[in-house]
Amino acid sequence: MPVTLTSLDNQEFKVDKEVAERSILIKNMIEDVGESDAPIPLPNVSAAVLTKVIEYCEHHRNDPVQVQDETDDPRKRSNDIEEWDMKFMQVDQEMLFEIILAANYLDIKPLLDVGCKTVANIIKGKTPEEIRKAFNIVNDFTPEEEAQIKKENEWAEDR
Amino acid sequence: MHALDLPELVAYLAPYLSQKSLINCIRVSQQWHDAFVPHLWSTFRVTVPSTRSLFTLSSLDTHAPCVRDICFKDLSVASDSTFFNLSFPYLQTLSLSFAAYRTDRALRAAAFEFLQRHQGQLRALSLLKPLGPMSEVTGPQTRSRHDLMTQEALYIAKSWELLHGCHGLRSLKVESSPFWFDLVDQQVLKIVSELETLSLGNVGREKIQLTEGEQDDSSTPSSSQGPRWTLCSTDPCIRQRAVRIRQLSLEYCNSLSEEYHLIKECHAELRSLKWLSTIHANVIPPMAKHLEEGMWPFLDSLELRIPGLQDKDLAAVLRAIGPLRKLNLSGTEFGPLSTTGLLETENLGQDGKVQKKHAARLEKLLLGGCNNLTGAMVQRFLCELPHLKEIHAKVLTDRDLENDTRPWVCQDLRVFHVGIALAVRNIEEDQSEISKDDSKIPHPRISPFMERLSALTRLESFHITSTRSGQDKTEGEFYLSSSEEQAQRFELQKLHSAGGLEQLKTLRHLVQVRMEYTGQKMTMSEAKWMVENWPRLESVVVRQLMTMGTSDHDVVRVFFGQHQIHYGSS
Repeated sequence: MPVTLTSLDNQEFKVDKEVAERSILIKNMIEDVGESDAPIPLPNVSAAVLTKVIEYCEHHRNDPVQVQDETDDPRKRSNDIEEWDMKFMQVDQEMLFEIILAANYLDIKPLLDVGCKTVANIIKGKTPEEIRKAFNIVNDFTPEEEAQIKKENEWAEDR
Repeated sequence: MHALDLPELVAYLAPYLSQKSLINCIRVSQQWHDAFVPHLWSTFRVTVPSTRSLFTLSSLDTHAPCVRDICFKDLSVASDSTFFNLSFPYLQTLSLSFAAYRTDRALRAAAFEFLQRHQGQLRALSLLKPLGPMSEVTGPQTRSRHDLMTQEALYIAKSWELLHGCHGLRSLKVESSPFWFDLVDQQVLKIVSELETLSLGNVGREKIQLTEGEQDDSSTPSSSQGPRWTLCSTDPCIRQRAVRIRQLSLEYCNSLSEEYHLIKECHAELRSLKWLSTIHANVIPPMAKHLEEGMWPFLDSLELRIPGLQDKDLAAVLRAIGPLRKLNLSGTEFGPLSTTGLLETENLGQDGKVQKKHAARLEKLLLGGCNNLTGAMVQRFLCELPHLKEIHAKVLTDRDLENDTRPWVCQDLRVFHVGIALAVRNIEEDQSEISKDDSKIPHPRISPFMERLSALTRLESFHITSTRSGQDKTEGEFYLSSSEEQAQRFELQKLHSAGGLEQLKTLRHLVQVRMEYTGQKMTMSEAKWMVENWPRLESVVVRQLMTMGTSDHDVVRVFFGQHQIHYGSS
């Protein structure tokens, strides 16, 4: 049974209900509205991003509901991304953050996890300058500010 | 709108970043700084005294609202008492340990006052290394031991009062205290009954006469009383509050009977029990009997090591206990009876059908250092425990694979720490096999291992060691002589010939590899092979007693370093 999703720029996407319901937000909306053909508006998500999100949900449509892995370690791991997901996340960094925002808004936790892990993996092992390059960020610190920040947080380097 | 503008998204991302990554993120730009600084300061961990100079009290004060978790080790009188003047409005987790014999009264008083100020907030507290007068710097030895102990007792009593005020405390860890948690004491019981996690390490069993001349019969050493295993159910103090502890850890405390008493108090909600002791159990705690009576209905994670517990005692526990998720019996007498208890005990599954009780749930099985464990048993585990994710065991030989050719059902295995060995055949056979060594294909006796390992595509960590006694003791074979051992080493070295590792290229999730056979050298071509085929690799450890060709070793280390892979020798 298909549902229609409308993006920010008014493009319509027809997807199976099962696929759309990977998004808890959409799932709840459908439950609230009941049986209806009315399209579901998603004013916070552009067509380009929604295309990607739907692609993810289609691929993972049969995944079991995620159970919290019972580990005591609050520090989460980022080295266990599935191969398909890794390829899926090979997008420019702007799109990467857009996907994360969309996954947050639409409440698709597995996609949010994959997005965050991907960002964490990009950051891993890079110096601040390399991180700036990877994410197109301008360094807006003065040299004095940089020195102070380094000093203030020095204690953390000793682990 | 950028993802980093949303604090809740930054909060979601931050746990995936290592401490190092967080530090680098903070230096990227003002926006990144403001987004990530609260997460860096969320955990304030200071250990080595030299680190003390790396933060200022004023910067700590500025960031105090971000701090959720403080861990301050090796506190000593030197300069640390000023730290305790600060306040952390959102502090939830506190871990303090004092450097032995370098504290003084002022530091202790400051620490106490700090704890008192944060009483209402704390959810988790760890007090490691003695905090009492016994750890004080003493001048000339004017105080008698009795005097010190009395002081210590009063001090502990005051600590209990303090803990009383920690209404939200859910997790408590105490190490190295001479005094036991006497549950008859109302104060103690009130605190303990609110806890979800309790961990006691090296906590003693001493009672001190606080008043001169008082005849307190509990001051006699517990060994002369004999074990008191039965719960005194008529005692009103104990019955009043149900203890809700879910995770209990007792490590090397000094009185088995008192410890068991505490374990029984946790009869309702206990999910995880760790009980390690060096005291020999002259009388076995009736754990199996109490389990059969329905005590600890939710217990599914057990770690036990009490000298004196035999294979049959462990087997009885395994038969009586509910379906286990995690079992750690390292260093115990785990043997054939326990294997049967673990693998063959049956119960009714959720669908009403009879099933193997533990096979239905067991995910982690740790049996390192169990001298009665044979390869045949290990092979059974791999063939009969479908949900196994982690296994630690001493030995598995090719003969075990020949004797039991069933496939390994544990397709979800992540951690494989098992000593692999070649069973001793007769010497002539081995020698002739050694002589035809130039083939590039893996040795036929190694291949069955590699084939089975290669099917475990979710494997993340494997240790392969060569063991001295790779044979079934019951067959009465001898331990390896030095020439046999050398033959075995030589065979395992073939893993490193060009074809040796090839079968393992399916293990694309491999993160950690440890290969320990003496004399084996890692070459550049192997290193390159690993980097190419194991993309998530982070650590490679090899055992190298021979350091010939050291330059090769360094070249490999540099190469791995470039790929952020730790390379070391054990």
